[in-house]
Amino acid sequence: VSTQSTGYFNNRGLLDFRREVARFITERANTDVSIEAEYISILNGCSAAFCFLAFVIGGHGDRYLIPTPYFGMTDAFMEEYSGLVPIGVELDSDNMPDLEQLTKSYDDALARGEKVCGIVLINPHNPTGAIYPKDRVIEVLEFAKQRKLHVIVDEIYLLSVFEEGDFESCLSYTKQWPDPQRTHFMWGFSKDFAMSGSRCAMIYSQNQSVHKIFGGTIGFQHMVSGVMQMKLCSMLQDTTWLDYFLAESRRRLKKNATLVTNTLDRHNIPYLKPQGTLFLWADFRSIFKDKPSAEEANLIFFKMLDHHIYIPSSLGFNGTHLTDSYFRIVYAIPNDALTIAMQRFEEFLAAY
Amino acid sequence: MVDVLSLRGQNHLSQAPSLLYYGFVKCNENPYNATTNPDGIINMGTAENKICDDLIIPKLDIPGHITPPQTQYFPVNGMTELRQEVASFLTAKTKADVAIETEQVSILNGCSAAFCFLAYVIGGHGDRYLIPSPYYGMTEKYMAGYSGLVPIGVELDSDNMPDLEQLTKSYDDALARGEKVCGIVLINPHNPTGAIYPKDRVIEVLEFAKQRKLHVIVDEIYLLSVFEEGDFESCLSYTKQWPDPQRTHFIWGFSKDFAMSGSRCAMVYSQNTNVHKILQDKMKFHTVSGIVQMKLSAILRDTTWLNYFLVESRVRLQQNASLVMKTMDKHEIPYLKPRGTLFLWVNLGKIFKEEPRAEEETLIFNKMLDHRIYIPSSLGFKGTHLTDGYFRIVYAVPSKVLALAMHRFEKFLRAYSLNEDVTVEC
Repeated sequence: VSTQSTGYFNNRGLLDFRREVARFITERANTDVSIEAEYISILNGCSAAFCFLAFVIGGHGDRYLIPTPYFGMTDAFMEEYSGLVPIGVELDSDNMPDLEQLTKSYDDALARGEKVCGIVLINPHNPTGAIYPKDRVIEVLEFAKQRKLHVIVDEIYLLSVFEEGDFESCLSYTKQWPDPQRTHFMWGFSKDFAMSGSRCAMIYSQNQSVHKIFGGTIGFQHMVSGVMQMKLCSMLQDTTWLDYFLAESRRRLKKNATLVTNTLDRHNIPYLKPQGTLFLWADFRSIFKDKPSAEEANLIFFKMLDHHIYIPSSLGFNGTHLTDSYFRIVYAIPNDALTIAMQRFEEFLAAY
Repeated sequence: MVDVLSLRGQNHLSQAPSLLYYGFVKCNENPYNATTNPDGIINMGTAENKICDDLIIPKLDIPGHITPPQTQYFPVNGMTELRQEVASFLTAKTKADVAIETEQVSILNGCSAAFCFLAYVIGGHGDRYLIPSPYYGMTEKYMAGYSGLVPIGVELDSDNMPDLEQLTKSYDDALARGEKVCGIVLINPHNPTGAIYPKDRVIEVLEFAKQRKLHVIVDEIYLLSVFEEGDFESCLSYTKQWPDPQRTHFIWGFSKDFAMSGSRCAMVYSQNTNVHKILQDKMKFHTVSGIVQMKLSAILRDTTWLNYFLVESRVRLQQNASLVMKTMDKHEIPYLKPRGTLFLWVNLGKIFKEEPRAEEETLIFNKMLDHRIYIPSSLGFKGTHLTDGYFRIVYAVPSKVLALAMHRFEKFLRAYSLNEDVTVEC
């Protein structure tokens, strides 16, 4: 700890830390171009990143397109201070962004007299765990460029993908971004580093004005303690430990995911094969007594709570009628607790 | 590229930066360092306590015992332990008339965040708030950024106290213009004057606010930097006399009193439970790292060290203030006698050569920068014509540096009176 981190410093983050984050992400995301510290701003969480980016990409009341289902809190982050309104866009049958649906949603919004300012992609996807491959992401970026829309790409689960080769970060093809001035990337320590309490994330954008605005006064509202930045900085510098940790974390996540999929297989409950993140998206339609409905999904949710397990339904993810029977199961909990959780789940199944 | 961004984003960039921001950046571009950069600019403008690093840094450096709650999601408005510790700490240090409860405290990552958040909950976009002028210039940026509140500066009286007549006039004028006023902001001890508002003046303002259903934000960030403990009565020591507790909100932070402006940790006290609920439920934008929260909790629990530190800090601050006062006295430059905070408010009027003074203020500011000292003028504090010629000098810099800064200041005075250009000398 030194006076540099205990006194006031640049809103955008301590330079040493930004440099280290730049180095780290360049390596771990296999970027095509070396990430520069000047294109990075540090903030206290991806929630703050959504909030701030929402402020600079659109005006109060503007809309943004977001594939649905999606992590339910995202709209609160984009809306509270910044007033952006989501338009959920159905994914296709492979849980991929659907250009036809995007186009329809966009055109419908315009027809309603609404202004659309951007698109939000979370990749790997929350809650489905689906991984959007490069060509699908570029399709969306192209779609956005034609309409002068900003795109926010949140890769918060970047390093939680079980097999490294399975995920291509959009940072690995920045030279192919159709509209770099309107493409903004975010990542944070919460998931990949198993420290959601660190409250530390980053925005990468080639649009310098984004960082200028953040560095002006808005950034004050999202600063991370200097002491914390330096702690994380030294953590990132320890590449030997990092290599070990990231591999071990992925190994454990995969092991836990298998425990859950084994249970689901036993009961013939289909799910999207998990490739990473901390959860899997399971289809409970065989459990429903009637045709899947939001009502019964809610009932099932509460019944599971009665059995002392908390597993949210698609209601927490702004799902459509297509996802009424889906639930998101987080498997990244200690093994013994996970085993008990699966036991309780089976008890619930039997009881229901 | 700025024009692809939202209008509100673009507006941010087109606004002239605060003088305080400009000075801070200038100092960081060319920072004074006795060994590596003796010709650098000495920062006498950013209000930080830089004279207690030897006490604070070891405290922050102690490898703490980190446990899972700190590394995982915790309540958005602060870990229970820190809220508890802050509640007890402030109850004791402000001699609160009623013990502060944990549930009345929220933690945010800075007083700037506290202003931003409170602005969001007390008024709507475009609403006005009254604030005694001069005032710390960045406050309006914090209240405007996300939340869109607009300040109305209200002249202080000749004792630098809030003036009911002026408040009333400002309020009535605003209404006549069709504006909506939602609140009042008080910073006590005051920035930049260093004045201390006594209890009766604060209550007057609270009464004024209650009659008009206005919120009041009381920022006491310099609470424990007052030299003589008995000189300052925190508003927390008379909460039972608050006319409108549901609309009265208190801010304090670790930045000044604990000499750790980089900690980015502050608190809001309010008896209005909805304030805390709103922050907790939806506004996950001002959280503080769990590890830092626990470090600060541990520091607050160490009452022996605390008692030593808070006394020692005040002793050093007062010593430094005296050094500056001596220099001012030597040159017969009047100032408001500092009783605390980290700065004093001096009237450089006598060195001005012309009227009106606003332009020459900027010239003098820049000439001082040429002499490698950063001392912001009243421009950084939204002063009125009454404060033209005033400058705020931060004295909380290490003694040797302070002595050099005063030396450079005297050189500047000499050069300015003789219309000489600066000769750079270390």
